[in-house]
Amino acid sequence: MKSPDPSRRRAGLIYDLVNRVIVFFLLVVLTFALPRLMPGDPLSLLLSSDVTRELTAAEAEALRQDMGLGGSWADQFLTYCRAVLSGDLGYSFHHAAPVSQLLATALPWTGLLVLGAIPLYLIVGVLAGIEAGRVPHRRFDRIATGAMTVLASLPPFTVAVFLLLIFAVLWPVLPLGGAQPIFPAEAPLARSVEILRHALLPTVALAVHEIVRFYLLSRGEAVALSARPFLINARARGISGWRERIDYYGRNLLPVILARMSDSITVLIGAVLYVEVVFSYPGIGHLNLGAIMDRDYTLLQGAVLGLSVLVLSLNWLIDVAAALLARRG
Amino acid sequence: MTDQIRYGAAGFRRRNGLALGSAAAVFGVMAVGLVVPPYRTGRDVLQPPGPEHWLGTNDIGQDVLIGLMHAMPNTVFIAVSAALISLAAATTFACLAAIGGTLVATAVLRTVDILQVIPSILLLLLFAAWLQPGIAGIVLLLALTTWHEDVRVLRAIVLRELTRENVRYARHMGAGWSYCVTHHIVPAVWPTLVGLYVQNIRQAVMKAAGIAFLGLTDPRLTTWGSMMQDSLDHLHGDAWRWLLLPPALSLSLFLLIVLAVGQRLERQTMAGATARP
Amino acid sequence: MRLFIRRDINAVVIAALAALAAPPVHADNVGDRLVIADASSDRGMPAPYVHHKNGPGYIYTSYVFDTLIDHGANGDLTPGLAESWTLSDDGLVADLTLNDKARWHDGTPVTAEDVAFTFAYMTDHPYVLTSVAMVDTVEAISKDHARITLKRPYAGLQSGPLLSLPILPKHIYQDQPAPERFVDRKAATGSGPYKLVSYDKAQGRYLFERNDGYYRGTPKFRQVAIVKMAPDAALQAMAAGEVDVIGSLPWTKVEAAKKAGLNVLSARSNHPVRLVFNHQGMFREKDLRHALAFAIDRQALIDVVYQDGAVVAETGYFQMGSPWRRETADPDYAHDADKAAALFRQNGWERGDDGRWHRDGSPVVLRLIADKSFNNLATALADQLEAFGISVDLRILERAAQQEHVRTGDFDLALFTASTMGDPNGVARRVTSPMFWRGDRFQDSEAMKAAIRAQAGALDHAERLDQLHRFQALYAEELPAYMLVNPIWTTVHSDKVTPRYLGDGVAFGIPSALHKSMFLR
Repeated sequence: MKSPDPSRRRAGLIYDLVNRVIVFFLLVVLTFALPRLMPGDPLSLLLSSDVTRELTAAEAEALRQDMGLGGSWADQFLTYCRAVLSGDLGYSFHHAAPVSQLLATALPWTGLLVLGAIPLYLIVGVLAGIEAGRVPHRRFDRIATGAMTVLASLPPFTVAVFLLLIFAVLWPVLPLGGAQPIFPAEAPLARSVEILRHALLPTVALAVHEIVRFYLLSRGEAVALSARPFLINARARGISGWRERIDYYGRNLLPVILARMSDSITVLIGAVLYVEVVFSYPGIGHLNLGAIMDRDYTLLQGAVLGLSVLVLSLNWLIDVAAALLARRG
Repeated sequence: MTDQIRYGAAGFRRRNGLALGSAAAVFGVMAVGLVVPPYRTGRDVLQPPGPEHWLGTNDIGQDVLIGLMHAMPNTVFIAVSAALISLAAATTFACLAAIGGTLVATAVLRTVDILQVIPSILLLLLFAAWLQPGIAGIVLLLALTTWHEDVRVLRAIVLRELTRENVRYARHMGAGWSYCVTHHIVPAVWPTLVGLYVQNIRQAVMKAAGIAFLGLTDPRLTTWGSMMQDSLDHLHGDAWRWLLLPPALSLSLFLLIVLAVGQRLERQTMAGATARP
Repeated sequence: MRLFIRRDINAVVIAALAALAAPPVHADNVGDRLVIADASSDRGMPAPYVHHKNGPGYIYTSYVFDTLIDHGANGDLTPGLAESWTLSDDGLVADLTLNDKARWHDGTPVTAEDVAFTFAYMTDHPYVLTSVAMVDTVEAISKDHARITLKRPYAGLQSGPLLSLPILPKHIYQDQPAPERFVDRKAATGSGPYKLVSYDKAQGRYLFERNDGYYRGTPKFRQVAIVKMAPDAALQAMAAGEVDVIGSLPWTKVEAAKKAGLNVLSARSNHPVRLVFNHQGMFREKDLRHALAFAIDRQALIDVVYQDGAVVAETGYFQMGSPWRRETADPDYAHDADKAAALFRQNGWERGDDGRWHRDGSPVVLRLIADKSFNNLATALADQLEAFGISVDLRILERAAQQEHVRTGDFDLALFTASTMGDPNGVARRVTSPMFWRGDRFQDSEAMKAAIRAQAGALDHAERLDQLHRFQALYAEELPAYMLVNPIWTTVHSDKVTPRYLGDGVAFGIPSALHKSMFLR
């Protein structure tokens, strides 16, 4: 890849940003329209338990208005946009709580899993990839590549289910699910340890797939690097061990890895849903799925928007970082 | 990598042999669905594997082996056809973007860029919950959320082929675009198409199993993903051995086979490329 | 409200800190704490307008909010906030004397003003679980004397609204224009045996603390905690002594619970699964409903799907143990393929050479819709009907799609479940109302409608029972819906506590063993 001049690159980043704003707007429209196109009346669904009583027409209409379902679609959409722009994501009647509050309680847990998984797959995937690609077709390479091929053939939820089965059921050393024990300890240290213990399996399940991708990526790059003169030179000068792996391979892999990261965020957000479902982890994926099942329009809109803002801004920032790095290197 | 995709005549035949073999296998799998006995409920519930039910029964007495065989054509069909549709769409749009004017190209590429940043799982969830798709619905949904991934690669290759001397010569001799596409461009990009197709199949298998696993597909559609979901209630106790393992293994085995076929194809392409004088 | 606006602005940052800094549970005296495990997530904040609109949401709220009349441990009506009550001879005026020891959780006395306020407030802000439409006025005659005047005699006053309407504190709710959005901790100020200490929505965890000055005596446990836990995890935790009650254990896990030596309490839920007919379609004909009933082998369905987890249901609406039921054998439509075939033939159906049934020359295909939770039952039922020669187009739909199918009449058969317990004034909604999409929506029997109307206005109990027994016989004969199976529900508990299933359910018929009487001495 030839590096274009800086102004073109800046234009490219702005183009990306504009694209993301368009995507965001499309998602606003989509999340508004789709649930309303789905069959079913949210009010009847909210009151579909056999223990609720019959409402009179006037009572039902009053509740409907209160839920933001009164008036025409156009009215509802305008009200909705105005609210979103002023930062108000609405109120979920199903949970009887403001959507922003629901998101705020769920996001940290998802964040914990994602932030825990990123270093895990970067370190394991990239290091193993470098090790395998340093001297290709050695025993380590063959074993590791074989293992990664098998892992690549396990869908993300399968990995999660098997981790749960092995480490929580058959050999119960880790908790079955949830983010905390029933009664969290009082001392902050003990509490953090408990939270980490609960996050361990979900984090690993989340990381496995990206480990495979980053392994294959860095192995391929490392194989190519191994044939480059500067490395052959360095080896001849007796450079080996961590210095060789980090300073020589790692440095040169960084831009490629960063370029892949923005994509990786999108993939992780997809996978985190499965992981949260399997481990009944109280994060945003769970919240989303529940909102879809309950036809909780406001929550669904808020959750999709919140999530997409997160994904879009994260992967744009990573793109910017990758571009800056590419300019330096 | 795409620069290396040039091939020789021998490679083409070998590759075709493998492709034909795979196609035959796929049709064989589909045919299984026609001969398997019906997937009926019965009073023998949660039976471990035995002479009567080789892979045991589930919680309403359905035979797991029969379930696996019913699920196989469904799973394979979904993957094969979703990948085909998404590749066809990608090729069409790539050709449009390559041959059409700047305006068309900008429109296509812009759309692709936009689709690339939407987390596809969100779209899948929204649409799946809305439609609760059966087999055709899943195929379309998967195609809809994957086609954009291949457009850029294909466009680059088509552009490269367009500037080759054989195409220019044919154009010069008065051949129309459609002639050029079918006689020069398609044969040239064929290996790439096959490679992408195999990749797309893997993607589609994983995604289809995923939405079945979340319970968002039509529950009557037996797939390996939905069988795994049903088994989740039985992780405690013994029943997971015959309820979870068979569909999970089938799914992974299928993915491994697809991966192996893909790698074989790629290697043959590479071998063809180096064998070329 | 102000609090939430601030949260809106930097919600994420605050929450990241809050998640780690939320007040931990004090666990100095674990023996005094009762832990209840609930498999489902969050049931909403335990306050009348914001809890989830279903059974468990109501039950948890009832720990915080008392009603005027309550159930005793044996299911009889006992005094709640009202120490005594009388009804005038014309059935139009009820006088209630309140317990003068009753206090709100903030120490304010509970007065007749609060009672009058609650009825008025619930007229303005519809409370979706219990209607107050039959009430004309409620006056506070004195501090502890409330008088309810009805628009017309209403037989279910005590076992209906007085039993299930949570009384609200006037001094807190009078300034609330939109109670559905009132989620401040103050919204959970009640007069019940437990005060809400903390409620963690994300974790689905509730913590209650004993109301020491409770007017019916100090409750048994210093703390009650409700935690979200999947059944298997809950069984593990219970064996380890961390959990005391599993509110509802799926029947598939009962064996494991017994093996672990836990106290298992099982009862017929009286929340049967019914086969609902589309009365606008071909099953408008009673004979066809009967024919289909004879074609179905209910015991075989249980053998395949439930094993020990259900019994064959009574066909006359009310199930065994209901105080409203006449103790008689309802017609049981015992499986009889020949009888079914004869009835179908009488109504113009024909069986082809291949054994498939035809109607007007074309093969019969019945559209059966069901919830995902009845996937197994629906599959087994479809298999049975297929074996009998009727093709079934089974559609497992989630709720919203089901509702749409019912609304547009795009179904022949549906599997629904609902409680058959609670004051029989609920019958009108569940059986004859055209509005309730998961009900029977049966309009074709004037006699049945008349019986339901007559029982509602009956002045004495015997007359009411008489009408209800008539209704029972009509239901079994008309089959607005065919009661298939009556699932058995199970609660598992430690020795600390004795939950009980009440004969007529909690409040408006919730089949739960977790009524608050288990907290009282």
